[in-house]
Amino acid sequence: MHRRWGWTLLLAAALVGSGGCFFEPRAPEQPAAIQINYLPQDQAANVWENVQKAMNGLDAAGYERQIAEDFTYEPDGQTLATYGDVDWEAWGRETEIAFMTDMLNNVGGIAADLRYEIIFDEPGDTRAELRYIYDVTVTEADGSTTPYRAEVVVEIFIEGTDWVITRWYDVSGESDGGSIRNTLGDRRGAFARSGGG
Amino acid sequence: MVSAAKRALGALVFCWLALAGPPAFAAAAASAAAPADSTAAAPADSAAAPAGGLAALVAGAPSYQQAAAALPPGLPYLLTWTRDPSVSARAQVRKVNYGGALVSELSFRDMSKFKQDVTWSWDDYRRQDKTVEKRNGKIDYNTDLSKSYSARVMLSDSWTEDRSVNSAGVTNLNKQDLKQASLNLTREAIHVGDVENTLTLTGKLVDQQGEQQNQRIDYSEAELNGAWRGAYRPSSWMSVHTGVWGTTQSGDRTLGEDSSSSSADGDSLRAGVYYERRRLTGGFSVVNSSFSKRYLDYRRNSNGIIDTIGVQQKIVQELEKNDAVSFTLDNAYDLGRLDLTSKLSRDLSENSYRSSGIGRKERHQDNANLGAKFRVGRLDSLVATYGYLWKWDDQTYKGASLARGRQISKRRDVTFSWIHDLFRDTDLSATYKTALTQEIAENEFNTNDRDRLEESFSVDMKTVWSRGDQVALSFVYRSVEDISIRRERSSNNSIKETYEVVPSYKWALADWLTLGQDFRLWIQYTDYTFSDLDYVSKDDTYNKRGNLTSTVKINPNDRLELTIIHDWQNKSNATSTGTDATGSTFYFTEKEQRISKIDFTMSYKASDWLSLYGTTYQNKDVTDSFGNTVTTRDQRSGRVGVGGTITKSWGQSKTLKAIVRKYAAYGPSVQETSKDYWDADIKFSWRF
Repeated sequence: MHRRWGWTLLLAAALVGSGGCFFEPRAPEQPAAIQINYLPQDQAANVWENVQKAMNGLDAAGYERQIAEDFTYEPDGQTLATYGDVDWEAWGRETEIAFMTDMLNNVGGIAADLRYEIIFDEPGDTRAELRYIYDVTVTEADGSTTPYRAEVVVEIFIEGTDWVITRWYDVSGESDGGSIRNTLGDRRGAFARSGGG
Repeated sequence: MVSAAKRALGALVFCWLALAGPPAFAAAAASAAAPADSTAAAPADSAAAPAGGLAALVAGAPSYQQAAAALPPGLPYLLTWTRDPSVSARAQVRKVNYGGALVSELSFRDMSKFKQDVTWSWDDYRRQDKTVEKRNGKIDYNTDLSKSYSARVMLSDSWTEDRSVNSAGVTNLNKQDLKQASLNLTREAIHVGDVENTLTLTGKLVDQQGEQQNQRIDYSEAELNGAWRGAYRPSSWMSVHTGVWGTTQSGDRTLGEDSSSSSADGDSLRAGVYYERRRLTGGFSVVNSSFSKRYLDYRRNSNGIIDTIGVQQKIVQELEKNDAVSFTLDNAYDLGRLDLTSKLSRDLSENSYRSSGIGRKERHQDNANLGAKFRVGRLDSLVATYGYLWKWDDQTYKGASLARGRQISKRRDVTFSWIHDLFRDTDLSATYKTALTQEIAENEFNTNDRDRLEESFSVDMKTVWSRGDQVALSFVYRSVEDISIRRERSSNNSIKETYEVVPSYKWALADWLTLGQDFRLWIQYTDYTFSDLDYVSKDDTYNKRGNLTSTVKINPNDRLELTIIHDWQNKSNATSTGTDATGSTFYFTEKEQRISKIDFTMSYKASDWLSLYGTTYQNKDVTDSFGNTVTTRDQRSGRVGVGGTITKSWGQSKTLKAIVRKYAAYGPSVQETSKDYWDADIKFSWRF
């Protein structure tokens, strides 16, 4: 009995002890002088601000840090009608990160103002449902621009000690003087339809 | 369009006559159901892999003879006719929903069934000026599905109107009316030598009328597809499955002011070998599928985004082609005390567009999952798993001669678990997990190259006594290392180490009194890898959060239940100010937050069909921020709710279920629509 215990513990310890050597990440380059200064994720409003910084800085890693494990995305009615073949219910953290990485890697630049208009901006103690109108202009790889403006509901909650986004709901496209602009859901739909995610 | 529909129906009638020979009533092995083929996505998933190994394959469906023999003679042709109307209303904090449905179902002596389904729903969003109305109607008739030949006819109409008014008062309207008719013919258990064959033929007519932002999006198409599946068992432990599927589609599409013909065709070929011999179970399958579609579309850029600004030709005739191959190898090996499992797969695809700026996209994905479970003795077991994912996509933009470069995602993970039966009613488990995720892009897109190394170690002990009392203790250590490789991004590289301790218990002090407490403590250190460089303005941080939830549940009698929950939280954030000669790091507390919430809930069962409910909470949230001066923010919030639940049945046929609650709330984070609202879920159904 004791012998079995000993072998079990020894094997477990050996496996656990050797675990740290399994994978070796790559060595990073020394940082450049220009950097993106993210805010600490100790309050809900900072998270939305960080999303804006990540988009403007085309930084996928910075965006990934703001997204919760159980993230969900809910599209607006027009996106649903245009991309009805996309499985929106299955759109979770992994798809969102893949989408944002692909977008940030394949555009020339982004000018994002995620607080273009504040509708409701008062977080609760451990959960917040914030409402904004965002305005985002994407400069495509070929130099053309694609404008987005929409009302969004973001739910942010505290996961451990950091606040993270758990739900992004694009309510509806907003007007640009004349025409109604698309939400960023349209971009997500195009990504999913072309086989992404 | 009309001629296409006539051709499709003519072909269906011809094939039905060809298929409807005398049924082979042999008690056949059921062929594995092939997944639905479609031109919507490729590759299709696994090639009809049986879920439960060979045993599941040979579990035959009931034959026609068995089904017919079960019915006594002299029965009327119409056996049952049920009608099930229902109405419902739901009010929630986000939206109010009204709905109605009528479902009628008729079953006949020859085992055929007819089902008619009509539904209507109306969603009214409370926080936005948005409504969604849906009307659906469906008629579904099928012949006896247990026979070796069967037919199914389906007619449906799905109507949706999504209307939202934006902040400028402009209405965004999306309408869709989709009508479909389909006929499906299946002939199973056709034996040619030792091969059992199944043929399926489906004809479909689709007509959609849609409107988006005053633009018409209509299409009218006819589709014909057919499939053959064959199953052969060369021995008692092995079976071979193959299948061919093909489709053709043609019709008309309208996009805005433009109309044009559309068409599509596709095929797939699949084969699989499955085995179950002594200790070894598994299978190998391969699927090859392809399609091409011609349709009207908006002009799109290299990211697939509609790009019509400043161009003459906004709508183009698109030709989309897709080819895909997937391989899967699945094995399980039972060696007594040792179980080994493996699943390996490879998926390859190539997608191209004639008009879209996307051009051509190639994808490659390799996946491997290996597992081993070892039962060391009566009390211990060890589990080890290894996961591997390597995938990339590459794109050659329209008109470009060279590919963009691969965007690669790579993930490897290893898990070890030890589970030990410590003593009676008590289990102890320890798990170590490590994973490395890598994003690697070739050529100019590599500024987002990054690695993420995650490690976690957890120990859990849980005792559950037979009377329901329980004690649990968990400890979790987690480390996440974010590494951006390129100098443009690496200043934010960090290592986050989190310690989590969670002791809890639940104790039934008496039949009428239960006490429970959960304590959870998180401590997190964030070290920025390059914070020592002068030009990197990053300070290491230390965050702590404690949470104690105490629950008292009182059941003075069978009708009354009282629950009191007190939730206490303390959270602080600190930033590193320096390190002394011994290596100790000093932190300055910038913010401290204390939250105390007391929640009281009562439910009273007034009668068999009526329960009353009341709840209230009060919350105090005090935050101190430390700087040159100390500022304190004191916020109070609360909510009160009253209501009841009705569950009432009249005989077997009529049922009313209603949950109705009225809430009133206050506090800075309470939105206007949450200050005073109804939460209701009411449904009345009648079956006759």
